[in-house]
Amino acid sequence: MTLSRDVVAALGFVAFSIAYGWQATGIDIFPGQEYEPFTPQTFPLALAVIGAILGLGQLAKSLRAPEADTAAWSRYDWPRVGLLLASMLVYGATFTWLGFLVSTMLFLTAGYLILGERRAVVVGAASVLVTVGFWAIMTKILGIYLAPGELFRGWLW
Amino acid sequence: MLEGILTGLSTAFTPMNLLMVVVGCFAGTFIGMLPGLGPISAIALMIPITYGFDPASGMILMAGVYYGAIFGGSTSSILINAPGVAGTVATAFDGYPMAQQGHAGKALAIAAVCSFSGGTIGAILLLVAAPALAKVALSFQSSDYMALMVLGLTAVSAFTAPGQVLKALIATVIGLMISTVGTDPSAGVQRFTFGSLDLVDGVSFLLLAMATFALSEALMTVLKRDEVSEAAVRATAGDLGSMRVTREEVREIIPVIGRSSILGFFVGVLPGAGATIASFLAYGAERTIASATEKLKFGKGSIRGLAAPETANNAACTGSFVPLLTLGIPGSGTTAVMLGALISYGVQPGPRLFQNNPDVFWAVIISMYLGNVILLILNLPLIPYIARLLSLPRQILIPLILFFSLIGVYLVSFNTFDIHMMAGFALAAIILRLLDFPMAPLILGFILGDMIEDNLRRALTISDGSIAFLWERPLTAVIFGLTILTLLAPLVRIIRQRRGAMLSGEGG
Repeated sequence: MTLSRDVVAALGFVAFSIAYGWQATGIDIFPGQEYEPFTPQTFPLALAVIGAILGLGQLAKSLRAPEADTAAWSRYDWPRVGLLLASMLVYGATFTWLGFLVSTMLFLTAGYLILGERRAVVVGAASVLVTVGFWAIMTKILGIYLAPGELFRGWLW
Repeated sequence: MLEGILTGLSTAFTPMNLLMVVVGCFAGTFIGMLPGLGPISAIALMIPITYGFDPASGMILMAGVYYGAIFGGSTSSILINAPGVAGTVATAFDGYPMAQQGHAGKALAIAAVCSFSGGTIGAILLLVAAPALAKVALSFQSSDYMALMVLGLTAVSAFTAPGQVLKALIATVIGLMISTVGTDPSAGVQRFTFGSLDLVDGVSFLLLAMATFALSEALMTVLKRDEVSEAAVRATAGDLGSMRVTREEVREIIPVIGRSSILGFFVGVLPGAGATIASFLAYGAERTIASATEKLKFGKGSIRGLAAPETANNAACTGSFVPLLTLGIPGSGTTAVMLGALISYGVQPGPRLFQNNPDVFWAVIISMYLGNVILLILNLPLIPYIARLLSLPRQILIPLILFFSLIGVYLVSFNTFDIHMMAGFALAAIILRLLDFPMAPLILGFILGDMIEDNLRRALTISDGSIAFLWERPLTAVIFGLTILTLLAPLVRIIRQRRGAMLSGEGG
């Protein structure tokens, strides 16, 4: 028997609620606070219980109903979205080291290329103009600090 | 009140704030026109820009963006049958057939006039309703507030996803759970931070709004391989036809505007209902009261069928500001994002906003009216040019949206961990969207989480740990009763349907 996606999602949410509730029992409370009507644990524990009940309700509902949409998720363009998400992670990781200008140009170039833009002039112009324009507005007009790049610290300044 | 209006006028009519309305309307129209990006994304994208502004200017810009986005959504509904916003789906029913018959210009003009009228009547009603409700709300206690917020969350869940109420409620709980991450406001202890310094301040509302709306909506268009359709290119390049509306047509739509704006405004005030439901209700109501011959025209390019939802959705947008400004409780995803923005400016919406920050309160109301005027006189003539943007290649547009979302959040915290967290939340949001979990209840739950916990703590402390306040205070009991009714309504519908099916099965 294969489980429908709704069933898996409901089971996942029940498990998440239990894990959340279990974590909530570990929240520090001050000595004597356990006798008070409301502690930092109260609200999270209530949410965990409500979450588990809703998750079980959804589980019961999805077990009874046949899955309406049988369209496979494989039709979707996962590789491109995966690459875009990965490029965001790389952007975050390189931002401080390469600085705003270089990392943003690389991020935008990667984005255009991932989405299929192959004209070198368009890719180059769209990334350089946007990056430099944004940088100029932020640093020169609004006076906002943007990471200059730790890596170049020794070489350039 | 007159003094307040004058304060609002003097704040709204400064050159800077007038510029904000104009910029907001244009930016909103453009973003709202892009299929897939709605008003929540449009507003979220604007928040980082407004951080340096004073609260009144920031809110004025966002109100302009909100109206612009709804109007932009109508434009793409009419021209290419691709509503950028759920609130303008009903606009496409008759707007698109009109465009196909060569009357795109007329349809756009009617949409603009109706949006203007709906928004204007809504703004006048807001002018009367908001201060009155704010006065009443001053007598509310913690338990009433908590009950109202729970009602808001339940209503949003019940209305945003008919047939998927459980999923919407789960999304709400996920939002509430995310709101508990960080330092507990009362005791100062850390919750769910897993020892990470980056999580001590909790998840920022802007980060969550950007990741679950702007980022995930942009990525969804990539995931679903939505291409700029041939129709879009043709519709935007071609002639839109005359924008002239005849006297008979004006006479025909005036009563529709009157009815639909009042209906739309009151639906908008209700928590959770909002522009989408208002537009469908107005469309349905107009078709019901139409004569038999007129009824046949609905869906085939009826002017009344276009005017009703367009008027109602704008009136509802204005109406949805009533609970936000007077109770501090947002009734929709969009106003939830605005509430988050107001809090980040250091303004606490609620009954006291009216007394403590009259300039913000009145300037927002006045600027809504201004926004409508600007949409009518500036945006409408420029529509053919703005519409060309619809054919901008997706492979250039999407990376730019991703960049502006990421950098917008980074510029507030200057912490690159936020960029990683956004990628994580965006992926989670995409999966939840694919599983039909609505995102608006999630963001609403997140924003109301702190307030619900705070009011629950106060109510429980006052009543010495007993939950009797739920039924001992009549106002709280009534609001809770309404919450239960809202939850039971879908169940009653299911039981009725089953009984109907059984009866017809027996009959056959």
